[in-house]
Amino acid sequence: MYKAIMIGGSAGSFQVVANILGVIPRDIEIPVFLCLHRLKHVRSGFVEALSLKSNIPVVEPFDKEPIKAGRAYLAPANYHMFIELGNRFALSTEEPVNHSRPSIDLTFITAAQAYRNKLIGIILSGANRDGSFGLKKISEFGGLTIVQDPKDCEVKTMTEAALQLTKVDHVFTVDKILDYFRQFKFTNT
Amino acid sequence: MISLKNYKILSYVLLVLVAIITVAITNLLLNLIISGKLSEFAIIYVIVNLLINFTMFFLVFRIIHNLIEKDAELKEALEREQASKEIMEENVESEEIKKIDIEELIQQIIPPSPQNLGMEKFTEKILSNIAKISELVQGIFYVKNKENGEFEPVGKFAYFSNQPPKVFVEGETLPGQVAKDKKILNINNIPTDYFTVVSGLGNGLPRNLLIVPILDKEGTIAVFELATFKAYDKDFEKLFEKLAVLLGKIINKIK
Amino acid sequence: MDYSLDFEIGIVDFRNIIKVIKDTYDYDFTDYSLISLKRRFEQVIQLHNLKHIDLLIDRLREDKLFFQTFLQEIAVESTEMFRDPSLWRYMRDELLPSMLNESSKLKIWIPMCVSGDELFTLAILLKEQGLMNQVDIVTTCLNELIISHIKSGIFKNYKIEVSEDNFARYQGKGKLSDYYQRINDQSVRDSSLIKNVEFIKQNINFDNSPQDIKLILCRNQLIYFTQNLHDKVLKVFSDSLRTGGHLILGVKEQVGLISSKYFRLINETESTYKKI
Repeated sequence: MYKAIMIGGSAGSFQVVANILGVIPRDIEIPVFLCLHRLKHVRSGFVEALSLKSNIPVVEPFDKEPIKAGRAYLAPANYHMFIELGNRFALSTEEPVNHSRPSIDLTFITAAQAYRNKLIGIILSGANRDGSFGLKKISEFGGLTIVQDPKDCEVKTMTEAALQLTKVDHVFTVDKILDYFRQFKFTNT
Repeated sequence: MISLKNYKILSYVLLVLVAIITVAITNLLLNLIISGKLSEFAIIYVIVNLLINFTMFFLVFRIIHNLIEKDAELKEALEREQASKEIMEENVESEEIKKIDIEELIQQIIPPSPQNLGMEKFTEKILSNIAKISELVQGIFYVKNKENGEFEPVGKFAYFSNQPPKVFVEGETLPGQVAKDKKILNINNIPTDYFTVVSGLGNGLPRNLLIVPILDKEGTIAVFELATFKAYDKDFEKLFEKLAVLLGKIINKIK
Repeated sequence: MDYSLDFEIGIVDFRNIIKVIKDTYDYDFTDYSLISLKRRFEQVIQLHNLKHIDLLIDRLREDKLFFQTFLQEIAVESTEMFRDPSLWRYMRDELLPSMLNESSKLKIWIPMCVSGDELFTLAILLKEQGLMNQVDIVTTCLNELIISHIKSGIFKNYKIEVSEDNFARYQGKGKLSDYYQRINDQSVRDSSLIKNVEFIKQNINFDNSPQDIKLILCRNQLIYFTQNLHDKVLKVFSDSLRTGGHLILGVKEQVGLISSKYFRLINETESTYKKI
């Protein structure tokens, strides 16, 4: 039913994402997009660290790379990651949005335009408002929206901003998010 | 073809005209009533008629607007589908070429000046080059030790297990069987525990295994093992067969 | 950021804009990446308050100067100076010295220059290494407006901090601020750095490309093209390079399967290729 999962986060989200990747079904039939704020100059190490316990391969896409199911794609440093029609990535070096490049808003918005109501959008812990508008777009197109419970976040700013802007479908603690992913194959038919 | 914008303007103009006319006629009727030239019933009849006409026109106006917008939405959705298809088709074209150019791909796999690299670097380069042209998850390159007949793991790709890959002799374990049979083995969807026991790849996640023997005049001199999430198809099997033939000639010359 | 993320144009309108540009000016944007170009249109439309697409289309058709401004505004600038400092160190310490070993003079081409960031970065590198007399730089740009903007040396203020940080990582001789001045609230780069650079207005079909080039520095511009146009342009680059010449792309770009006929990857980290 859902064709893609889109996760955005910043400060305090790394461990949550690593845990999600550790419980996600190995033969999941859709792609997972990760847009995490990251240090501009650190080109390697992030993907490797996330891959360590991940059930699915974690890669940083090249420009125009086709989107394949069963993989986690991490937005590369100092690029915006757009979802292009026709199942491709398009990278961009436009101005930062919400002081961020990659910007969660831009990835979320382009994903919402590409996948319409067949998208799940998740916002995790973070220190600025990036992503709240993108999550609203996903909600407007009829996709499923999940926000990490601010009480459960290392830094509340991002999740609170997202909740202010949209009436989301679920506010989950990390444990509930992990349960949701463990059950994912059975519920996503 | 009148554009969407013009349709809308036209319908607003007509609406306003109808409204003006209705008001004018009502005004006229009121004047006639006051001067007694029309009976009340006739008046009521005419006014009700006018109101009904006005309402119907208004409804038709709304329906037309909705249709125009639906039409635009549909056209938009069709264009999006079309654009999607075009972009996806670009992808298909490059996949086709991948299938045909086996020779080119082999050139990309074998690193230049193998003698200068040494066996370990050479075999590791081969595995990492294979990873560049396909979705290789883990790989091991075994070379036969001529003195004791054991196949030793020399080159590795993305091998993260705590235990090193096991040494084997011909006939022993899955790669040993391939060395003995001298034929490529392509196994798909292996159950995970079976997979960890028989392959040298440790606690692997991938479910597909391709094992390729490399032969020279005397027999199998090396074996490489590739693990992937997605099984290699017939075209890749052909590619690796050809690669193995070339490697059979090169490997003996490397130290 | 002076535009809203909310404003979106439909694909039908997007295609109509491309059509009027093609019909009126013979510029074909069909082979540009759809999502990226659509976003650029959306931003420029908001900048000029032309949200009714018919208004934009009429203005593009009738106002030639507006069209040139439009071209300049939809082109995506580079993000900063000395982007990816490790590349510039690689150029300074390995690539350029080895190229200059083979011949005493070099020609470097920077295609699709928009803000001049890469151009000035290269110029500063060459100046600090004392190589300005040995290297000729040619740059091609979409139109005259862009060329004069680059020549003016104006450097967007929001790029300064990150560029200075990059320059420090690059371990340049001195500080980046040695090369620009604050004039009336703007940062202006030293135009003597580019006084010998050849500026060419590039034809949209690339048929007036420079020849006999030893190094092409084209980072993060091909990402705005479809695969089709990407391959066509790489063929142009290959024809323009001497054998053994080099091409440098952005960190997350690849020449791709079709163009790998012409280019061999020689440095994966710095996305550097050699013409076969």
